[in-house]
Formats: sequence, C-alpha cells, structure tokens
Amino acid sequence: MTVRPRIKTDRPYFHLEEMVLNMGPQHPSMHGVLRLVLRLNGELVIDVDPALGYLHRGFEKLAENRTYYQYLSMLSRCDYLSGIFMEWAYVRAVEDLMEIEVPERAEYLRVIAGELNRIASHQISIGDFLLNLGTWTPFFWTFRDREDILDLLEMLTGQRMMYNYMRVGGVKEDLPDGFESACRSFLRTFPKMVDQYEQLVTDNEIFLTRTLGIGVYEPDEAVDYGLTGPNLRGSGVAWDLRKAEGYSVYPKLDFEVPVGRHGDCYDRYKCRIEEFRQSVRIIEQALDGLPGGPVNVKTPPMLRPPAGEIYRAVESPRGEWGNYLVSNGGLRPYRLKLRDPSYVAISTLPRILPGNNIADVIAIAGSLDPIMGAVDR
Amino acid sequence: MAEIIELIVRFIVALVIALAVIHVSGLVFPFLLRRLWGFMGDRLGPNRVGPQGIFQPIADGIKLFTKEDITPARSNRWLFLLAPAIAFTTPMLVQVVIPFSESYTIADLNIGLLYLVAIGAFAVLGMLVGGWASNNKYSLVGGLRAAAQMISYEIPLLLTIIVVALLAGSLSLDSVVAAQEGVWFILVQPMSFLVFIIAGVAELNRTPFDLPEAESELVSGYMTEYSGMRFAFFYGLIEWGNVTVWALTASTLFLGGWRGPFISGPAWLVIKVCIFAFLIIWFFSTFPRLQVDQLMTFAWKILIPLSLVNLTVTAFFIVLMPDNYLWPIAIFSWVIMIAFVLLMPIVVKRLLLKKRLYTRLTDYGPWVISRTASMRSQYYRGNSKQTSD
Amino acid sequence: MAVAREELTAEAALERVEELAGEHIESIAIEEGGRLLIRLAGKELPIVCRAIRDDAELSFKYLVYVTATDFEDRIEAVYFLRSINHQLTADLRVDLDRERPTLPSVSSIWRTACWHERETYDFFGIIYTGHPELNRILTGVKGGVHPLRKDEQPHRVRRQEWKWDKASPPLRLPGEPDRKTRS
Repeated sequence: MTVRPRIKTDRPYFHLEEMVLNMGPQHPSMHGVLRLVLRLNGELVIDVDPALGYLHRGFEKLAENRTYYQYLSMLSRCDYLSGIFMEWAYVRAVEDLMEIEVPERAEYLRVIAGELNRIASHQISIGDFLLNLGTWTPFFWTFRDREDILDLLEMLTGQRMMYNYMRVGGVKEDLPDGFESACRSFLRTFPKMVDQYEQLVTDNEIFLTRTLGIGVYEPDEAVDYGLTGPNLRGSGVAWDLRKAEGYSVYPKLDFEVPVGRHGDCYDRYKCRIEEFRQSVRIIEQALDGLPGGPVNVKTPPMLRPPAGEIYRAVESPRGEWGNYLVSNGGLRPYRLKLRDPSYVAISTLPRILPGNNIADVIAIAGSLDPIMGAVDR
Repeated sequence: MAEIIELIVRFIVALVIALAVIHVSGLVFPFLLRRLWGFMGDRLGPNRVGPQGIFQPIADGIKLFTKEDITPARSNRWLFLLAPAIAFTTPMLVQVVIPFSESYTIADLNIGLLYLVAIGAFAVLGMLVGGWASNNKYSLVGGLRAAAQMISYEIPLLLTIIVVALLAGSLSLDSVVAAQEGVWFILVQPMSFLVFIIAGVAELNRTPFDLPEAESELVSGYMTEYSGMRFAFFYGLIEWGNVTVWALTASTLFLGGWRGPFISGPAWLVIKVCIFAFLIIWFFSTFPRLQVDQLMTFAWKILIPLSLVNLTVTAFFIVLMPDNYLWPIAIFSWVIMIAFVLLMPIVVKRLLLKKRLYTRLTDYGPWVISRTASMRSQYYRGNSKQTSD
Repeated sequence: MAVAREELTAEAALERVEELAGEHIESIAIEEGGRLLIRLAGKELPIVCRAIRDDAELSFKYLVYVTATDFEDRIEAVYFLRSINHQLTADLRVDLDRERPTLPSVSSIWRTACWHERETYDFFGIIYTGHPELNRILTGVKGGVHPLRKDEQPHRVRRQEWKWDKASPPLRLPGEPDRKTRS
C-alpha cells in the first residue's frame, strides 16, 4: 500500500474503523457512471477500486456487424462530448487503408470542426471540474459559451452533438452560408470569455489550495501509465499528435502546445485553458487559408477496404483516440479496437488516489476529465 | 390574572413573529438565491410562476409539503424524525434576545450574548443527529464534518462576541444596541466584524465552508436521506432561518441593530439582513469549496490567534484608557484588518508554492495493488476469480 | 519542449532491436509509416519488452494499447508501443492457441498494461500469467463468455440476414454448436 504522506496515518489515535464508501455510479460528480469503491479511514482514502462497465454498449463488437458507413454514425455516441474526433480517427483509418486522397478543403473543414469541438469539450471539462470543486458560476459560463459552439456545429453538421459529419474521403457537405461570419464573430468574443473564466477562478486562493500539488503525476509516471492529452502535457511531457504525427493540415497551421510543469490538477486545468486560446488561433488560420475545391471524393456506397490492418489516432480533447482496424476485404470491419484516453486516465486512479481525502478524489477525477461513454465503450 | 393574560398574549405574539421571520426568510431567500445565482451565472432563474417568478417558492413549498415523507429502512427512525425539529429550535430560540426595534425585544436577558452563543452551538446537534440517524455513509460523513467544523468556528465567533461585550460593557443585547448610538461597532472593530462574518459563514455551512452538505462530494451531506417536508425544513427553513438570525445578530452586534439614518426600527434591520443574505448568495455563486484539513487549519492557525490578539489588545486599551478607548482600538483594528486582507493571499500563495515544490520531489513508491481477498470478493462487481474460465 | 526529439530512423531502430533481442524474436519488419512489426513467441514477450523499453536509444516507454484479434484459427495478441523521444512506433504480435490462450503479463513493465490486459482478458479470454488482478472489467459477463471472439455473436444480429454481404466471413464457425436464440 502506498499512501502519500500528506496526512500522517501512523499516529496511534488515527486508527479508526475503516469504512467502505461506494461512490457512484449515481453520484453528482462522477462524470456519468464511474463507480469508485473507496476504502476510507475517516476522510482519508486508503484504497480505491474503480468498477466500470455501467455504460458498456459493445462498440467493438457492433463494428463487426455493421458496414463501414453504418458504423460511422455510431461513433460519436462513444465519447459523446467530442464526436468529431471519434469519426475523424475512424475515417482516417479507413481512408489510409483504402488509399483515398482527401481534398485539402475537406481537411481544413475537418480541422475547423474538430477544433470547435475541442473547445466545446474543454468547456464541459473545465466547468465540471470547477463544479466538482464547489463553484457554480464558471459552470454556467462555460455552458453559455458552449451553446454558441454547438450552434456553429449545428450549422456545419446539422447536429448539436451526434455529428456524423465525416465521410470517408472528405466531409458531409460544404460550409453553409453565414457560417464563416458567425464563426469569426464567435472567435472575436470567445477569448474575452476565457479571460473571464480565468479572472473568476484561476487566482482564487481557495481554488489554488484545492488544486496546487494535488494529484501529481511525475512525467515518467505519466508516460508509464499511458496518459495522453492535457493530462500528459500537464506533467510536462510535450507530446501532441497534431505536432508529432502532423496529420491532416496541422503542419501548415501555426499553433503552440501548452505544457505544464508540475503535473498537478492546476497544471491540467491551465493546459485546457491555454488550449482554448490555441484552438481559436487554429480556427482563425484555417478560416483564412481555406482553399477552394471539392469537400469529398466519390466513394462507393459500400466500402470494401483491402485486407490489411492499420492504426490511426487523432489528438482528441482527452488525448490520443486511436482506432486499430483490421479488414479482411469484406464489407464490415473484421476487428476494430478503440483506444480510449479516458480509460487510461481512470486506470491511474488506484495509484493516485490513496493518501488523499474525499474532496481530493473528486478534484483529481474531475481534472482527469474522463468520459464514461468512451471508457466503457 | 391580567399579568398572566398579558404574558400569554406576549408569548403568542412572540411565537408568531419568530415563526414568521423564519418562514418568510425560508420563502424569500431561496428564491432570491436562485434569481441572483441565475443572474450571476448569466441565466434567468425561475421566472415563470407569477410576475418575475415570485410565487415560485410557494409552488416549491406546496410540492415539497405534499410529497411522500420517506424514512429510510434501517435508519434510527425516531432520531431521524426528530433531527429537523432539533435543528429548528436554534433559529427560533436565538430570536428571543434580538432587539427588533426600540420597543420590541422578546426578552432582554442580561446574559443575552452568552445565551446567543449557547443556543448557536446547539445548531450542530440537529445536523449530527440527522446525519447519524440516516444510516447513510454520506450523511454520516456530512454530520461529522458539521460537528468538527462548527465546534472549531464557535471559538473565533465567541472571541469576537467577547470583544463586542467589552466595548458595550454589557452582555445584554439592548445595551449593545444602545452603546452603538454614536458609532457602529463595525467602525471600531472591523477585524472582529470580519472574523464574525467568516466564522459565521462557516457556522452556517455556506460556501466556501459548505463541507457538511458538499453536493459534489457528499451528494447532500447530512440531508441526503431527507425528503418532502423534512427536506423543506432542513433546506429552506432551518438553513435560511439560521442565515437570518445570524444576520440579525451581526447587525445587532456590529451595525447598530435597528438603528439607522432617516428611519428607525425593523425596516433597517430588514435591509441589513438582506445585505448579509446577498453576501451569502454572492459567496455561494463564486467561491469554490475548501477542504476539511484546510478548513481546520484556517480556524485554528489563523482565525483564533488573530481574534485572540484582537481581544487582548482591545481589553488592554479599555483597561489602560477607560475614558477614551475607542480611537486606539479602532486604529489598531483597522490596521490589523487591512494587513490581514492584504497579506493573507500573498502568504497563502507562498505556502502553496512551497508545498507544490515539495510534492514535486516526493519519492513515489513502487506500483502495488494491494487488496485483501475479502475486499475483492465482496465489492468487486463481476467475475472475481482469475482463471475460472 | 521537455522531451528532446532526436532522429532515429526506423532502419536504425530495426537494427538496434535485432541487436538487443535478435534471438528472442521470430521476425521483424518495417511496415508503412515506419512502424516496426515484431513477431515473437509468447514466452519471450517480457524479455523483449523489457529490453526495448529500458534501452536508452529506443526507449519504447509508452504502451498505447494492448489488444487481440480473433482470426478464427488463432488469436493474435497485439501490443502497440511508442517511443516519444524518436516518434517511433512498434507493433508486437504474438500468435496464440485459440483453445487456451496464455501470455505472460507485461503489467510489471508498463503500468498501463494492467487495465489493457484486463480488458483483453474480458473480451478474448487471454489469460495473462503474473497479472496482479486479472478479472472482468467492462462486460461483467459470467460463465466463460468472451464477447469479442468470433463465435460469440449478439443474438439479434445472428438472426438477421445480410443478403448483400457476401465477402464477409460467416458469423459462426462451421461446426460450432448453434445456440438457441431467445425469441
């Protein structure tokens, strides 16, 4: 048992009776249906056992029984907050397997949709995290601004959350009229809103006491655990697939990857806040540099990729979302493995939570930003 | 005989007024909270029932009072039912000594301040009993948190009340109000006022000290299992009744009670109570919640020493210059308050950064999953045997 | 940028792997995108994994996922590795007996492998020896059902006729006893 020495437990008067607290699956701040079985000594957590599977829908098995396009519309139900990325990784895998060249305009539209979706997802992440810490107003503010993004995405894709926007070889359709001006006016106002969030909480002493030095992942530890996304970058490891792999048109766009230093809840929060600003930069450049041309290439209605296997990943708001696709030349995927960053983040909880108290459990779980729809799949 | 009838009439009037104060605050303040909270969160809040939604609390009240009253199985039934009643006594009894106007005090006890503290400490009992009797772990943790928190913050509260008693030269609340005819005690003792506000918010379990009912951690803390009318009691009447009597006490001790310019009497008291209620709502909307150990550290390491110093220096000046002690006390108190307000964030941040440095350098042990066999079989959902299939 | 990115080509990495663990692997090749595809026998897995993780030059410290594919005649276990320093990827493949698939666990090498292996056990029934807590994680199904094996089909789908689909493999193995579908 590794207990972090924040509270000394070896004092003779500290040996209280242990209590097992079953936190979740119905709990206000368990991000859906995460269930943590906590063994407590007073308020101190001595052991954690995450129990998953309450949202298990068998996504990987369902893929084997659906055609490639049938399955595409399911994918945004997996991580329901960042559906664009679910679809993106999947169509990347299929395209690369079939060696389909995607028009450049389609790639730009994918980047625009993806970064809008990233902002929307981080809005929920930050709002929920702060709500877990007990403050209400940022939650409503982030949801207010998320509403604007969902309107934009609705213009773009026709849906607010379950997009089904990607197609193998492009995107569904071109930009609608008025999207560009609406998007630009949003991009003008949104950085001010981010400053507002920051003014409200980032320098608040209570917020700092709740987040600084809480839930620390060493860089080596974070890599060893396979954390990705803001959780990994919060620990100081500069790893972002958009830069490292340079897929889509990201190499042509100028943006930075925010990296933390201490790997605590505060750094993860700050990474997400900075990604807001970087996403705004990316969308602005993508709108400026949007080339003409078609938005998709013609593909047969029944896709039949050649036999083979491929792994393609995208940098989703939670990290590396990957699809390992095995095709046998048939109409349906022979095997599809979904690599989910939240699953990995949850797997660190038995290690990171012991030694903290109940309030920190909520803070750390919130700062890791798991989405149970994707964890359970 | 006439005396007895007068006593009975006075008793009934007092009872009606005390109940009215609690019920009106239980109706008005939750509604105000929701509207203001909505305003601060850039929303509308409830605005459908009646003009601007002012009948919303009545609709809520009807809904809650007609709901099924559930007593959880295997709870301690009588204590569970008794807990709201116990908690209800505090806001009722505190009003006995509050001077509402020049002529209306239910009973001007000569130990009024002592009575206030004693009854105020009673409030924790209802929460503890309710939390324990619910037979729910969240409730239990909430109740225990409430007990620890309220006992800790009772001390700085008491110390500031002693300061007021020293300034007024009496324990009677009427005398306290009378002593503030010239200058309100908030101007003489801002430090005490600040501590009173902080400790009071903690006593009332409001944000940022709302640990006993922290909804993101403990679902609803000690009132998780309560439903229907009893929930309405806890959530509406007792919580906001407590806020009101705390605001009444604070106005009486520091803001001149019912005194005020232009008009005098209960109207000023209502305005002052509303200011305090607004403060509570403001805190609720904007502050995160503290943690248990930080809460205790704040009480024992910061508030209590500060109020002790404040009390000692006040007593010292009163003894040293019995004729003209207000000015030196005021200067000292203002200086210490401004220093506290300015230095506290800097010191906290420095300490936090140091701690962060420390956590960065902690040695992490090897990765071990240690779970006893009983734990695995008892609490693990699904197939626990390793290689059965 | 905290992690330095030095250039290490896939060819150099291939040579380095052969140098380190040449006698333990069956074959090694460079696939598309510079991905190293290493095939090996199950019992050699921990040795190879530890070698390529601990080697300062390769430093495959990042295990992306562990999974498996049921090829109906065998189960292929997959380990996908990343070297953050060099932007290299490597794929370890182990062919397993379908009747009783067993592999040594790598959860003591990469901590993240713990839950990935639990998931793979849950879905495919691969038993990882030396795993600290090998039990069901997502499905919670009882009775030896491992849903991602090809002979386990959802009832509803099994009843359906997919007439336009001729190229896909049969949903059931020939000779597999047909389970009564619930009506």
